[in-house]
Amino acid sequence: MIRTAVIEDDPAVLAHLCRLIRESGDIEVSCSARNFVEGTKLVEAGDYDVLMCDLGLPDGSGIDLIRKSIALHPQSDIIVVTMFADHRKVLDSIKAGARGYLLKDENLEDCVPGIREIRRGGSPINPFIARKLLERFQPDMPDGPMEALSDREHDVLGLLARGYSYAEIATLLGISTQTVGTYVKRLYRKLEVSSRSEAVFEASSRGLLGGL
Amino acid sequence: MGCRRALCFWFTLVLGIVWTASPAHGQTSQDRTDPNVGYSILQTSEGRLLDYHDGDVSHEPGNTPPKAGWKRTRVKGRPFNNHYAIALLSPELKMEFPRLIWYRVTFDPGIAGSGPLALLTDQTHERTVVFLNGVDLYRSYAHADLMQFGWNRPRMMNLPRALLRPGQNEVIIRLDNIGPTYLMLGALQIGQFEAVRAEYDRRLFWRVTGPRTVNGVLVILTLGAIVFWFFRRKETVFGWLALVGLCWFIRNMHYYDDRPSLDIMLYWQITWASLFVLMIALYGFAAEFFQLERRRAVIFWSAAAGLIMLVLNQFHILVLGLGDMSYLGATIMGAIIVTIFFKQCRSEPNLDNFAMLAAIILAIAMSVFDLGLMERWWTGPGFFLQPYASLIVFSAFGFALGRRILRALFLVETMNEVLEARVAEATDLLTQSEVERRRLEVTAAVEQERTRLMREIHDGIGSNLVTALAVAQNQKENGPTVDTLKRSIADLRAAIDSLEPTEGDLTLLLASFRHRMEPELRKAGLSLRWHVDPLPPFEWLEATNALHVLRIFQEIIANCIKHAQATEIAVSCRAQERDGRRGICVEFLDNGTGLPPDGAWDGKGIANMKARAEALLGQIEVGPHPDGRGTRVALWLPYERRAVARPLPRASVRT
Repeated sequence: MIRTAVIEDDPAVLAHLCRLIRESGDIEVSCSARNFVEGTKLVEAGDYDVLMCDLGLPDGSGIDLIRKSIALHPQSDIIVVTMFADHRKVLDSIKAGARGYLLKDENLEDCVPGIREIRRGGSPINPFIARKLLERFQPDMPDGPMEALSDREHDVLGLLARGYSYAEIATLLGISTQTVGTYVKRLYRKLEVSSRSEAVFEASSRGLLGGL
Repeated sequence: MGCRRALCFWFTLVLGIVWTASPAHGQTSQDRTDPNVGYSILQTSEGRLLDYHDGDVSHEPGNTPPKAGWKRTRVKGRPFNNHYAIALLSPELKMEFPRLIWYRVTFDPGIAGSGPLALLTDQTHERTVVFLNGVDLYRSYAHADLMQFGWNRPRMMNLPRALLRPGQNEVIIRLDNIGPTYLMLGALQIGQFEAVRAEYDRRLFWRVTGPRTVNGVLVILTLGAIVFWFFRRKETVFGWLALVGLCWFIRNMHYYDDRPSLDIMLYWQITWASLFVLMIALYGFAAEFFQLERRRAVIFWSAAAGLIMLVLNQFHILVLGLGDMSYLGATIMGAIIVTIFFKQCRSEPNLDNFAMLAAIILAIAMSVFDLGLMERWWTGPGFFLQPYASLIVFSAFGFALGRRILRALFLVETMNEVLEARVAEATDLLTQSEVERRRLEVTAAVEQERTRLMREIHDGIGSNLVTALAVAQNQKENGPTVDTLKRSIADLRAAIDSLEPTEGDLTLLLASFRHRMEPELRKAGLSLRWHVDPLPPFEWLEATNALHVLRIFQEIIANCIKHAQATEIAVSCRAQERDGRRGICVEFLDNGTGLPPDGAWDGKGIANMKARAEALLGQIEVGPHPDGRGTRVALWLPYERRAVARPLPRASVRT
């Protein structure tokens, strides 16, 4: 059983999500929270394999909860729940450590395959995010501690940005669908690491971190 | 390369001068050095010449040819009383030196040739009187105390037939001086008038006319340098150049002056001194021209050396009573200056430097030649090269300076061009950045608006719709409520997606569309075949246009789901040129039932798509699948739109 924690402020959506998860059979809801304060306690308790976290909580930011969860339980996977692909927010949460996202305006039923996929090591992505990643990892980006993309990663991102599905990409590149998912997860990881080191770089270059 | 060319040029020039000036040119020499005969016979194209080398010499005083004291000796180019200066300057020594000399030669008009005969003397020190058969034929001066140089010009006189006798005739030449130089008969020739005249003309030209012309040119060039320097005092190099020209001008004067208006001693002092000042000026010029690191030191030491040598030379002449050594001093200083030019040529090998180096080396070689001529080591073409060297060196210096000025002018011109280009570039950049700034402003405004909309949707309508849908689904409600809610959310989503900053990338818009539609297509049992090429973005595809495109895509897919009963849609996106215009074609091919026979495949929908495509200035085609079964819908959009998208008439658009 995959133990899932859900933090979502809209009771109807929360109820719907919980119902969908329980009905899956192989996933259970271990705990849930409806605001930032409850969410913090939930994260501190850490009783989950997958954390589904809404970003727009009434009393705080979901991003902070994601960071906290990554710090305390790095082995857990995090799925961001958001409305209408607000790509910047999705990117921000990926930088914070999330590896998946669920859009409330799309079919919430997707949350079950999404949870299974992320536990298998894959990650969902959409063309906008693929495009953002491509831009971000461009080799001619101005200086900064940016890790370069491998050719294969670049190809995968390019195809994703042009709308190809994991399965199509797998066929085109002669790899398994699973591998495409792990590529994406690895790219998210790169983005997270590079964002973090970029923040350090920026902070140190601005003299915020004395002694570094 | 420049070096070789410059050297070739000077070399050819000198060879040319020597060849045209050479007495051997165009004449055959029949050398008989028999002292008893006393002459060689030269057969030139103009006639016959007797060139004397031996004769009788006497030192008897008097104004008429002496009867006694004759001695047979070599007369050609042999100097007498070389120490005369001592006697002149140190009267207390009371040394006696002969102040006059008689030369006697004989000739037979039968041997000399037919027709009128003439006589030529050259390089005779100093005043000359010629007697033919005892008759006073010619004198170069009128008064006994008139100072005159005789050495620097040839003299020619006719030998009148009336004075000639058959057989042996006697020519006696009286030389004397009242100046500090020795006595000498440089050349004596008797022969047919035309031959003598040709020889005289040649000698006169190279000895007198040439140096005089050179000096004329030199004085004009020097004036130019002085004027230039006057207006640009900082450019001391022009001052030095003017000094070089001036010194050489003064120095050259004694090559054609035969009656100096100054005191003779002062005249010679100035002539000797000018060579040392010239050397100092050369160093000054080199130091300033090359901007030598320690040019003050170079100028100081060259000046010191020049002055010391000048004093030594004076001592040598006036105290020791020996000859003028200025050539030697100049040669030493010249050799040192050659090293300066040589070094510059090595560090900066250009035409100017090589030309100057070549000119200086040439000048030194010429002065060595003159030294030999003066000391009678050789006669060569028989005239001094120094005056010509002056023009060569001055020209080379002027040439280098002129080129430097030209380069500076050129630099100024190109600098203007460069500056103009830079200004243009900066203006361009400014315009660009202004355009970019405006674009960013627009982008920022769109982004801000989008954020505001997103917030509204998040907190308001969207959130409510999602909640309503969740509630409806939780209550297991099916049918129209859930469908309507879902459709509302989908419409809202398309509106939001069109606000996404796609930066005109149609492939991204299409990809995003697929991403959105995929669950719906799956539910409808439709699979996709996807082929999207990487394509450059459109410049014009901003939010309004993007929404048109999305709506067209939506319409196509909706039609397909509703009417086609297809199982597969092939979507492709490729570059395609139409009527020579670059563009992108997005093609949807389904394997459904195809268009209904009456063509009314949801007429309203097609009209809508056409209106939108028109608004995009693109083209839309709806027709049967080329393979027969199914439908083909293609949207073609151009990269460059000739007109601006018109706003759609409100009524024709389904929202």
